[in-house]
Amino acid sequence: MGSEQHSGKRRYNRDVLIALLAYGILLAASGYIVDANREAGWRYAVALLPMVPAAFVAVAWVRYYRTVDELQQRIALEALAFAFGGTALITFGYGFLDAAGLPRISWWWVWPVMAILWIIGGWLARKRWL
Amino acid sequence: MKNSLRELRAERGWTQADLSRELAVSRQTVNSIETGKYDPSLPLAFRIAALFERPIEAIFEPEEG
Repeated sequence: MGSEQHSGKRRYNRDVLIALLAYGILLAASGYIVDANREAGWRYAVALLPMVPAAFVAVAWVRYYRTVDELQQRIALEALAFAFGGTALITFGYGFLDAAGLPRISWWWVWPVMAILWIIGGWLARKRWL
Repeated sequence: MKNSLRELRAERGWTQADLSRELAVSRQTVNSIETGKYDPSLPLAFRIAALFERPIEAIFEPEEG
């Protein structure tokens, strides 16, 4: 691995670790505050607070992918394309099933579906190119 | 595309890790190029050519047919 990639990985690990710690703290705090203020209009803003450090994780992904080499970028692209297309098909498909009468499910499920497809897509792409 | 990267690397006594450091890519990428699974971009092919002091077509050759 080139030195730029090494330092990119180190920075990514550090940024994600800090962001996840902040996420954990804000998740606990915002959950507690929202539960204690179920009628307050500002509870929505407080409920979204954990998404601020989560956005830093998203920025760290983009930064990290800029530091990796061309083959790793291709593998990342294929993994993301697999997750993107698969999530579109699954969530839109379930939308139709919902309209046809299946129970409505939470938006929470979108990210786990995408993350699982991302892992599978990464595995398939690595199998093809490495 | 076929290439003689593995032979050129062996001539210099370099490991894949050594070559990956010289080219600023991952060791897996060097391996994928050597095994013909991945064809490098033109800029990377030029870096390889410059490193081994040979023209690109002396290192890479298209598959026949």
